[in-house]
Amino acid sequence: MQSEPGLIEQLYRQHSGELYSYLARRCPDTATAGDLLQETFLQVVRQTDQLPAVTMPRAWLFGIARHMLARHYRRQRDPLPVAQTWYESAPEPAAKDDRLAAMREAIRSLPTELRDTLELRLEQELSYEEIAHVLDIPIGTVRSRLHNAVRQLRGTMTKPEETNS
Amino acid sequence: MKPDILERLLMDRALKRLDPDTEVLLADYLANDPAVATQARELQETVRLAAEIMRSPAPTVEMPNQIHRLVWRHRAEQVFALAASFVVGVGLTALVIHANPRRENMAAVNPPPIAKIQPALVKSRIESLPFWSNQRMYLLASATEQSRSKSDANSKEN
Repeated sequence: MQSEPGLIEQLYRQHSGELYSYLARRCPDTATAGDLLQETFLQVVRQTDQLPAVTMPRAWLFGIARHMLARHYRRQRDPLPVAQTWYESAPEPAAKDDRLAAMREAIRSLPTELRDTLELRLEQELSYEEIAHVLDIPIGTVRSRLHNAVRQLRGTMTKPEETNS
Repeated sequence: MKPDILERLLMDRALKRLDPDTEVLLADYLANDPAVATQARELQETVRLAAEIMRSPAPTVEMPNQIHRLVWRHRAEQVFALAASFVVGVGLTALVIHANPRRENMAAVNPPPIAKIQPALVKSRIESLPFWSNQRMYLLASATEQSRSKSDANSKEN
């Protein structure tokens, strides 16, 4: 059986990259993202006794990281909500595809909970079970949120085409 | 197939969360229904575009392995918490010790007078009190003291 520091080190090696990327996309600067990654793993060290019971380590880590991010914005009293993500404040790319710009707008207009769920699926490629664990909601809710999000995006994307035709 | 079930399957397919067996069956179904196949393509394209936006490269930094530092930080926190509770404990004990001798000294200067009561009354009073009560102990001590002084006086007379 692996020792607890060894287990945490393994978790760090496997998931710190994607967690950092998740945090960096939602933080104003990379230093804050680094700090939050450190806070996330400090929380893991504090909860070492829970490690054997963790069935989905990736989802567990994303859950902690998400909690750290929310706490950070709460403490900062920053008007930037957790759901406001990197691509909203990122400069528009030299749009080769008009549909990408339209999609960006469509994603922006999604309700927070739908967007949050969709991000975990498309950006981090978490399974429905993992998303349910991260957001602490039933798996049926995850499915219905994802379906609603895709339905809304499709509706927004097909509107201009319909008006043009 | 019911339209709502079909839509659910198409959504899960677009989100790449359909199990392989169902996917094969759905592909067969789509091959025979061009209208639904178009709907499926539209959903897939929607999800592809959304994923393309959401997966745009995030800033990457080579993160040093900080686990050992974090473990030490956690241990330092624990040691600090222990030290803090030790200091608080020692402080409280010192306060108690500092306060108690005064009371003991005062008790030594002014010892409480031993009651001189009738033995029969004392006996009934002692029996009426709870066994471990302070008052019972005090009355017992008083009665013992009284009987000792009586016997001393008798022996002197003899």
